[in-house]
Amino acid sequence: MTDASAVASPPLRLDRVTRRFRLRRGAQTTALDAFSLDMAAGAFVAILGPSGCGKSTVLRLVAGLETPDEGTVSIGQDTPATLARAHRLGVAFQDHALLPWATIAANVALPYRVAGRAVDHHRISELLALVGLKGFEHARPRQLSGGMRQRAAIARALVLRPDVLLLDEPFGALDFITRQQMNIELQDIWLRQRTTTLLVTHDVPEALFLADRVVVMSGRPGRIIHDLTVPFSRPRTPPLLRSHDFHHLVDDLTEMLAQAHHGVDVPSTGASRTAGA
Amino acid sequence: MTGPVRRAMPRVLGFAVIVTLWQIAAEYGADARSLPAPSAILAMLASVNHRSLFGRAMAATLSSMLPGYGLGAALGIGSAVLVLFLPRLHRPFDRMAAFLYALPSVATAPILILTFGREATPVALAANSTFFVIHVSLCKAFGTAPRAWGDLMSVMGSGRIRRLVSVDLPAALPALVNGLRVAVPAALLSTLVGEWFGLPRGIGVLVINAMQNAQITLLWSAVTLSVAVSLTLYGGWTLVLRGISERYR
Ligand SMILES: Nc1ncnc2c1ncn2[C@@H]1O[C@H](COP(=O)(O)OP(=O)(O)O)[C@@H](O)[C@H]1O
Ligand SMILES: [Mg+2]
Repeated sequence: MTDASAVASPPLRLDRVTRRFRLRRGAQTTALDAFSLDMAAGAFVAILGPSGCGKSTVLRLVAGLETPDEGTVSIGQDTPATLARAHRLGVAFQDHALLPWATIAANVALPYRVAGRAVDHHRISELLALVGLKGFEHARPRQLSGGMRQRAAIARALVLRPDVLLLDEPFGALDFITRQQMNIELQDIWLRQRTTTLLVTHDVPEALFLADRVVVMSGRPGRIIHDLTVPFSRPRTPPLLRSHDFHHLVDDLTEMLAQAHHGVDVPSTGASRTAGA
Repeated sequence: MTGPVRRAMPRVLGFAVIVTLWQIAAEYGADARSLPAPSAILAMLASVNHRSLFGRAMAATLSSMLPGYGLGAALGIGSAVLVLFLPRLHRPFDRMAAFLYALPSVATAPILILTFGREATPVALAANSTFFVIHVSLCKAFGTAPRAWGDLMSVMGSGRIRRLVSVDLPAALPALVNGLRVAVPAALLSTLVGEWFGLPRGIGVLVINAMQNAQITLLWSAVTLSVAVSLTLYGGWTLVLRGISERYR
């Protein structure tokens, strides 16, 4: 899978974006309030934050599925909608959104059909092997575990080598070991393609292992309360997860998340996972 | 194998009990001129004299019903897709479909005869009743498809037609098949009613003639035959539905 796709990934920018949602009987909730995020071309940024703080909303804005009430979202010179129409966006949603009547191979081939391009079956089997789904080409989503479905959705997001990759808690349903393998694969793919990637996760070690920058959001309305440049060199390998520096940063970010929760107990996933690694 | 058999048992038994009671009532109790025995009906349906009569009548009825059923289904799919593309048409179209469906066919048939002619009237009535069922089933199916699939298509940069072909129609397939199944009895009944207005042959014609000539066994045989055909088509769609729903879970 040598990628000579020389198309440089674009930078990504959310500029003072406010997004409100109308609730019943005229009530309104502000999901994001003047949210700004600047991502360099080819950057990998992870967003951490308490649930309901607007992480998915950020991703949906960048995917063109929501429009800002105030502020702008731009990807290079383009709007998200322009990028989507050019089939240059890869998105893996929080719920995999696989089509139940289509086989796994057909689901992963869908972006080709939508783009009106010839289906590259070789690329599809390569990607399915990469995400550990070799032999499941003809299975239907129902026959797969939750984690396998998520991996199929990631393969679908990657298949056209998008310029911008958006991942919304894509490894949520995976067990620890598979998750670690997926993280390593994802890093490999990213190192080869340098796709501008925005990852939403609730797993602190995952964010630190994958991203150049980790952004921590406050509770709703979501604002950035911390922006960390991850100091580890690449390629990162599993021993990093056991290093003192890594543990230290995990603790810092976990503490930060706890504050974002406003004193609400934080599930100790971050700390315990790192200890177990 | 015992599973399906065991599950079918109560239904088979219930049916057998009813037929037996009917047979007893016809032989010992009721007036034979109003209630022929099931054995007499079966004997008539199987008899060499009547077989070709019933065969020709049913062939004529099906040659009106099936085109009407097909046309109604096509129009129902077309209007549901139109409403999907232009949501503003949803309400007016729903009302129109319900209005057409609610019209009593006995009253509309004379108008249809004047507009389309006698031959086309059963076809038009069958088409009308099928149209309504298909339109409503598909509109509902389009409206209840998970939003995530639409989101997925739009981030992939899908056009509306591609989305229709890749998501909306396949997602609505079980609803379509179910609609086709539900529409069978109504389409057949509408065809029979349409045949009363001066068609040369058909099960509807047979029913009317038998009634006017007090040929009660013939009447019951014709009705039994049309119920059997209706149930067979219905059962066929049930099998199709069962076959595809495996893929939709
Ligand atoms: N379509 C919507 N309608 C109403 N409220 C919404 C909608 N989408 C998101 N919200 C609200 O916006 C807030 C942020 O949601 P979301 O971005 O999904 O959070 P996260 O992904 O961080 O858990 C939540 O309070 C959620 O209830
Ligand atoms: Mg979310």
